[in-house]
Parts: sequence; structure tokens; C-alpha cells
Amino acid sequence: MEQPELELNKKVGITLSVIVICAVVFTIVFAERKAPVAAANAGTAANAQAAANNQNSASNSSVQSSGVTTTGPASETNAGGMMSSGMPPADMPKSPMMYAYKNGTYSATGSYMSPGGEDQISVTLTLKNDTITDVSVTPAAGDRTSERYQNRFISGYKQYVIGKNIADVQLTAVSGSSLTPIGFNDALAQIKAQAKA
Amino acid sequence: MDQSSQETRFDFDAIGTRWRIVLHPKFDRPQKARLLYAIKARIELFDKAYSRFREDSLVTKMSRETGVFELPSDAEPMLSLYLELYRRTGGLVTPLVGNLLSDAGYDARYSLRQKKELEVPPSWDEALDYKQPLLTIKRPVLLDFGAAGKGYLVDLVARVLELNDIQEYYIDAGGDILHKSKRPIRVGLEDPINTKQVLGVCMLGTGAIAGSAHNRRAWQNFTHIMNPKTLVSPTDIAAIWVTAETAMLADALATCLFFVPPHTLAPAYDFEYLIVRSDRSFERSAGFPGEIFTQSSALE
Repeated sequence: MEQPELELNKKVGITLSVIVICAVVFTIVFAERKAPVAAANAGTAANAQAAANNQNSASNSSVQSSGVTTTGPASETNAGGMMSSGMPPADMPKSPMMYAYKNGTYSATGSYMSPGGEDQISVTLTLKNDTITDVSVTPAAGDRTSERYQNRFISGYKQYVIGKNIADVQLTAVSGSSLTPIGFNDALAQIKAQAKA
Repeated sequence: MDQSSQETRFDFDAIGTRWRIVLHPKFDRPQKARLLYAIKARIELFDKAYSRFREDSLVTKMSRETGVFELPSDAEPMLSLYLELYRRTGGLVTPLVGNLLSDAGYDARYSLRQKKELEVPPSWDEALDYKQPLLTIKRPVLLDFGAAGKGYLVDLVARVLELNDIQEYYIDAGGDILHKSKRPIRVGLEDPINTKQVLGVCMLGTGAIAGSAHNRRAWQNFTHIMNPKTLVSPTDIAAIWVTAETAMLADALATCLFFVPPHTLAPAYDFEYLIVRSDRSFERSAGFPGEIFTQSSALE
């Protein structure tokens, strides 16, 4: 009695499995053919969803201005990378409605637990046409260890200054370190002379 | 300010630095001379009270004796700001650093040589008791008003101009600038490693900008900015600029930012800042007016 039932079960099982596998394969093949459009839509939707998720799930963050809560480096690649898949080439001018994010400056402060206690880190970034044009990350570390790590994190996302010749820049005035007192310069010169001798 | 036919200009040295004042309208020679006299007299009055570099100053007198001294009536805004900042920076910004700076070499004679073992300055309460106009010196201490003094003096000179019905002016005291006019001016931000270059341009409307950097006043291992707790000069920051409504505030906060992060001051004061570190990275407040030159400047 057992053996025939088992045989039948086996056959049913195998058949069902094959049907399921075929269905899966067909779905994949079918989906891939339509991939470009579907993925782009999925990408846009996922991006928007992720943004919404960021905003909702960032329970420890206080957003200082209306906008997207970002995590600095990740958003930099997202803003450029995700949006460019399936969208028109980057150099084609976009109408304002095609940008995912409103231009503006956004700030957020995130809290986290460190071995030394609760710490905070603030991120301010400026978005223009879906590109981050300025980013500033400020540590608010409570203890020195956190501050060290925060500074390491921050220094990875900094921009660096370069100098331009004064003659090439139209200026009314220049502000810098206070010009040294004449006496100070004299003293410095004397000391340098002494040091040589 | 660009119609040079309509403006009056003064260039002179005072309190150890170069001053330039530009104002409207164009005055005739006697008026110009009277105004310059009034400006220089105001500067002299300030210097005689607050300079630690003069033998005849009140500050020098207070460094040698204990007792109760009467401060000039203009002391209040400056002393009360110093007290606030002393508290907010945990004592890192303090007027009680005169002896430290002097011992390290930045003394009245600019000997630029460390003379003796450096000591941590006393706390405010250990040495002073302040109730305008009286300052009680409990133990002799050399006060240094370098952090905010020059900026405050610029504000006071502006007051002289306004008392003379001058409504548009530009006062530049060694890079600390107070500007009042309808149109903004372009202020280059001097690159501390190459003073023939600027690393940005600040668009200054009506208000002040103060710049602080170590590059000029440096000797041995020190600069004119010293940490009163560690007794060394901070090295991680190369230059700081602050814009604020008054030159005194801009000047004071620029010094503070060598020691404390901007967010500890932002709740109490209205200012914008740019901090350039020794590794050439920078940090700016969102509202700092102007353009910073970076490798990716093309984005602007």
C-alpha cells in the first residue's frame, strides 16, 4: 500500500517542481527582456523609497531643514549613480522636474552610541541639480577617542583649497593674518641673522 | 567705493599695523585733516588703556600691582564679551594670556625668545573681579586683549565716522575689515602659505570680516596664538575667517575657532566662518558669503 502512494507522491512532487522551475525561468527571461525600462522605474522608485526610509527610520536624527536626511558619502554616489541609470545622458539638459532632489542646503545631526557614550555628528550639504556641490561634516564628539575617529571620517570627505594669484582675481581688499608690527619684523630679521652666524 | 573722485582715503600705521579707511564723500583738505586727527586720537586713547606693549598703559600698570582700577567707559562691551567667551571655551580663550605670550617671547620688546619656563595662566576668578567700571586685580597679571581688541577698536573708529555724519565707509586694520555700504565688496582671503595668492573671495556687504592665521607672527615653536592649558600653539589649523555684524565679534570668534568647534558658539552668536586646516582641507558654514577656490571649482 505504501509503495504505490510514495511513487505517486514522488511523481506529483517532481512534476510540480518542474512546473515551478519553468515558471521561474520564464519569469526571469521575460523580465530581463523588459529590463531597461523596468529597472529604471524600479531604480527611481527604490531611490525615492530609500529616501523616504532614510527620513522615517532615522529616529536618532534631527533634520534641521526640510529635505532629505543624508549620510554624506553614500548619498554622494546615490545622487550621481542611481539617477543616471536608465535616465537620459548626463550632459543633456534636464528640466527642473526631472531632478530627484530640490536644490538647496540641508543639514542633519545624527546621534550614535560609542563606547564613550552618546555622540553626535552633523552633516551639511548643498545640492545643485542632483549634485553635491559642498559638504561639511562637523564632529560633536563627546570624548577624544570619538573625536579622533570622527575627524578621520571627515577628512576623507573634505575638499581642498587652492590658491589663485591676487593679480588674477578682481578684489577690493585682502583679509589675512594681521600684518606684523614693524618691530616684530625687525626682531625676526635680527634673530635670523644671529642664527646664521 | 569705486568712484574714487567721490571718496576720501586714509592710509596710516597705528597699533602696530597698517590701516586703510575709505569713505564717502570726498572731503576737502582741512576737513580731511580734522577727521584723521579725530580717528588717530580715538586710537591713541584705546591703545593707552589696553596695550600691553606700552610702558605707559593701564594694562602695564595692572600687571605690576594688585588693587582696584577704574577702566575707561568703553571697556564694558569688550570685557563682557571676553567673560562670555572665557566661559564658553572653558577658559581656552582668555585675556589672562599676556604673561604666557610674553614669557614665550612675544613681549613688549619682541625679543622672540622664550625667557623662562611657561606657566599656565590663572583662572579669571583667581586673578580678576570685574564690575564695570572697576576691575580688581587680585594678583598681578598681564592682560592681553589681542583676541578682540583690534576688532573692537575698528568698531570704535566707525563710531567716530558716524558721529561725523559719514554713512558709507570701509575700515581695514591689518586685514580686519568693517564695511558699511549699499554694495558689497570683494575681499580676497589671503593664502597663508603664499601671501601673493588668495584661496577665495568673500562678498562682504554691510558687516565685518576678521582673518586669523599664524603665518606672520611666528617664532621658534610659537605663534601669537597659544593654548593656555597645553602651553603650545595649535598647529592643525592654518587660517580662519569669520564674518559677523561687528568687527569685535568677528575678531573674537576667529580666535575662538582655533580652540573650539563652531557648533559650540553657533547657538549664542550670529556669524559665518571658514576654517582652513594645515592639510589644506577646509570647512565652511553654510552661509559663508563667497567662493572658495578648490580643485573642483568648475562646479560653481
